Amino acid sequence: MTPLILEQARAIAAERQCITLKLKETLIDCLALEKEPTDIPDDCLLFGVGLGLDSVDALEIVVAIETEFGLRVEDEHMREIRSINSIVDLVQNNTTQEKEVA
Amino acid sequence: MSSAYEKIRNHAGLVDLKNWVRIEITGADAATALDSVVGGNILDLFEGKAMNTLIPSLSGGVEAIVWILAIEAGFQIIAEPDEYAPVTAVLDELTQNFDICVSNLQNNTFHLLVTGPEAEKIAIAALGDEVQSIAFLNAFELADGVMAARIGFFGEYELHLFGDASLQDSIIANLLSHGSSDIVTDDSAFPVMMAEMRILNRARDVPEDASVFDVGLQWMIDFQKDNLRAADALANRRGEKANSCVLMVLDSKDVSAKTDISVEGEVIGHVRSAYYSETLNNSVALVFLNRDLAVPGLVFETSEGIAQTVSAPAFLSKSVLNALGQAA
Repeated sequence: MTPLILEQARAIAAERQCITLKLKETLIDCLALEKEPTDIPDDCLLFGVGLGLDSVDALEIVVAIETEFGLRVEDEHMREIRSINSIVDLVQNNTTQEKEVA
Repeated sequence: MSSAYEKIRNHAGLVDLKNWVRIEITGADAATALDSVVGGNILDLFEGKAMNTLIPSLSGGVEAIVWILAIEAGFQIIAEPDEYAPVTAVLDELTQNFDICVSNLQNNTFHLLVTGPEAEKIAIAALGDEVQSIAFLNAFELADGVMAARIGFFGEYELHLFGDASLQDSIIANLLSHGSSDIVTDDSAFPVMMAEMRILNRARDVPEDASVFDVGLQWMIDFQKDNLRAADALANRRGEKANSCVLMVLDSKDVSAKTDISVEGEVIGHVRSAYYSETLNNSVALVFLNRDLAVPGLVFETSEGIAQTVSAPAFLSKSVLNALGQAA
């Protein structure tokens, strides 16, 4: 991968941080978590340690992601539903792919 | 590849953790007392369950990172050796105000770790089928009062065994007879394996002035607790625009820890810990990066070589891939 200049990196980071915040707010809403977005680190695992969610929550998360970000989570993507960052990766990759298809 | 790393990441390792913190808290106020100092909600931790949490410092930082097991008699704190002093200092304070009994178990109990992608088979063969039913974040008492706990430090299958010191030799012999003497190893690979998973050791990886938010350990805290230690300090530090701890992979094999990292002549962060990862064939570093750059997926040409911010973990361990394969 080609190294970024700082200005580019900051712009990319700002865009990702917006998606990350939106995802955290979405999860807090759909799972009724008694948390602020800042209480959830970006690398926070969703299941087991971390947010301590379970498999029922996983289904809620998929529905919320599909609704909020307008993408379809296929079975092969379920492995990506493991942390905030991995879901943001999923959202960004699928959004990019959909833009390319369009 | 180092022997300890190779065994634990690719096969199985048996590690003697006798120097780790093992402290039992019992008494009528045990739950209330612990709950007043740790971030997690101890009142919801039922017997046979384990919790990874921290003791916040009075300034909103990290006093100690611990695991807590709820056992029949009360609670057992498990932590890396560096946490002994801060944990005992906090517990000493608690004994002044609560009806609790604090017992240091280090001298009269053993602590063994069976770990690695092939470790579960050895543990089941040596200790019985009950081991298979112990889920992550659970503990179970085996024969002879040996406690087995599934808690985790570096992303592999990890079974921690605790019991009376007189039983240690027979437990080791039993495990070796179902594995091989080659599985005996030491904890020398723990720092790099923990960094690969972005699991932090307070003494190594957490700067004294860092808040729980800077290090990304706020998930260990239940902010709804009305008795949260240092609640005001934590609230004040929530909105600070300091650096965030990020996992970076660098192409240099010799990255210096405790050094600034810069891009285009501008300091963008501070490398707190760095290790050569034999799995990645690159260095992994825990970097406190300017918050406006603290996201995964960025590649920089830095003063320490080409560096990429990555999501944690840096890779899925063989134990996790095996488990995912079985689940599928």
